[in-house]
Amino acid sequence: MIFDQDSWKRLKKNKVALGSAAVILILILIAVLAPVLSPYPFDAQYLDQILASFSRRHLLGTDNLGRDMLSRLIYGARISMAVAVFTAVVALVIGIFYGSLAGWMGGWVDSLMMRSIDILDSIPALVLLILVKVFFDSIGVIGNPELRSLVGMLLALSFVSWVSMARLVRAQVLQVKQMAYVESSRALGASAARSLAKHVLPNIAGPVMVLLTYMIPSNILFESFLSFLGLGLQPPYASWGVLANDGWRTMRTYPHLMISPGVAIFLAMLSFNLLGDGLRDAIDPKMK
Amino acid sequence: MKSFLKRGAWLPVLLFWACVVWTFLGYDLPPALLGAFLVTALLYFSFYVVENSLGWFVLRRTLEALFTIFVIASLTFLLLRTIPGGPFDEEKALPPEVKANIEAKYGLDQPLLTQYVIYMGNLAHGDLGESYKYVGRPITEIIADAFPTSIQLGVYALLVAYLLGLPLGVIAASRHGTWMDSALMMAAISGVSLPSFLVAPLFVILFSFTLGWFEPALWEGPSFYVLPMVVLGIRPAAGIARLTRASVLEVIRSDFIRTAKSKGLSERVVLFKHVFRNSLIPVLSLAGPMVAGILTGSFIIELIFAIPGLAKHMIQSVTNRDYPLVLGATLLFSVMLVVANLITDLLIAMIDPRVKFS
Repeated sequence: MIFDQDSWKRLKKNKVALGSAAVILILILIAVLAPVLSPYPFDAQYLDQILASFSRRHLLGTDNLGRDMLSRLIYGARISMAVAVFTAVVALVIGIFYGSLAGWMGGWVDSLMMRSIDILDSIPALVLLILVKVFFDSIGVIGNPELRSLVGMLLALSFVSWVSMARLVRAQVLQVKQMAYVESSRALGASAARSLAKHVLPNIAGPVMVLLTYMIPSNILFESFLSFLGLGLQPPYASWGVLANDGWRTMRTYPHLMISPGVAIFLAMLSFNLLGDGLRDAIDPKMK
Repeated sequence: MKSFLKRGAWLPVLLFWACVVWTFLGYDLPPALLGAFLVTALLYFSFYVVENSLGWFVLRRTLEALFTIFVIASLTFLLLRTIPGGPFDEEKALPPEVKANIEAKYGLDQPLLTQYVIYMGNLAHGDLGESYKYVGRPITEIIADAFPTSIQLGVYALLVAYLLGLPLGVIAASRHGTWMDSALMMAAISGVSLPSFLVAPLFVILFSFTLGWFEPALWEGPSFYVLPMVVLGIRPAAGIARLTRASVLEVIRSDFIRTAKSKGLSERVVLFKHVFRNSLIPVLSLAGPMVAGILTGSFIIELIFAIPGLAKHMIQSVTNRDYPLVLGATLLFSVMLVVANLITDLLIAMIDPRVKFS
């Protein structure tokens, strides 16, 4: 299950995966270029246009404070994508460290580390997320409440998502560790760290990449869940989840406020999931 | 005993479905029916455990589960106690004497270790303390009121997930490579990517405001149950469909199926007796994560549909800083997940003879 040239070829033939990669690229561009692309400042109020529906002036309408929805959606891409990608990368780093340590050491260290993970896994993710978020929100290391809620969100999501990565890395390390080439490198006197870095990690990159790709949509979803429950980001950080939370209470009279952030989340999650499927099939084509 | 095991399974299963149908019709679950289900299920389970001498395995897993709950209780307790800003710091500051009195009432003036020992001692007796906000109400009572609703919603959603996901997955696999397969899998991955707070309002607008088929909120009868359980079940159903398809495809290509076919067994026998049974194993082993997903999803669903369940209490108590309730709800959620995982492991062992218990 290595990501090699063959996998790359298979991936390039997969139109769905390429399409979703393109959508992801566009979303990232939108997020990066938000100030250039958005027609209005995201917090500017147009008081004569409160709760306006789709129009030429405001393509996606305006919210209850007269703010342009399209601009808020574009800035929301920034927050939602940044949060999801950042936390996935943190989870990757922690997961690789923890998982390869457990897998490489084996024995009681491994069992202890894995039992701790089992305990964390026995708390439903959203419950754990809520507890950790509330905890980080309350310890007042950061004075600014908006920034504090953002940092709390980043920490909470990273804290919840590294577990699955650690499990995967450990399982893969256990497998690769027994391979002849790793054993011979150990026998030739390579240090544990060197063997891991040189021989083990490159060989588990494929599955890790797939999990990373699946982790991003799940983080997008969890971020929006928390924001939806009112435990998420504080203004001015308006992620898609915050927008959806603002929108659903008035869904009957002003459905546009809920539908556009919802569709944005759906589109982002779908693209990442499809890309993840494509990567998985490219690495392990027998399951296609 | 073997014959009982072979033939006896229908009784708890039948009683389970009786419970489901009965509550779904909007009636209260009679304790006799629930009791009959629990007793037969437990009997069947104990026979199975004795027959296969799994006693030690079950005992070990149960002890592990208890230990897990103990650690979770301790960690959550410490986490909530170290949060600065007590539950009684109101916007309008209370007079210091009043605050001291309140804190003394709940034992908050004791040293942390004493509080911890008292809490764990009470927990061992099934006493979760009193709510800070619903003054005088024991946590166990609040939870006992909300729990049946949550478990009802969860079980319905799980049934929706499997009853929808399994057949769709099998259909997709049996039409492998056709447009039907692609369409179903596209639908499934969309289902996995759909946030429930988008589906729920859309369903409410369509099925309740426009068509008037179901009620848009609350939890009072069959017409109230349908929308929440379907919306909650969609995501896991899509996941199950994807996994079932992959699993069926893998089994179809395995050697023992080729053997079965070359023996001259009919297509039907091969499909139902060999393929389906074997591809069910990975799908069943997903039941644990499925339950976790449904627990998570229930937060959104209970909020949107104003269902008086546990998740609603959890959210409210977090914002209210009603820490005993937060702790109690966290523990109950974890217990549900741990129990679901335990049951899943046993079910898999019952179906899959290859599983070895160590």
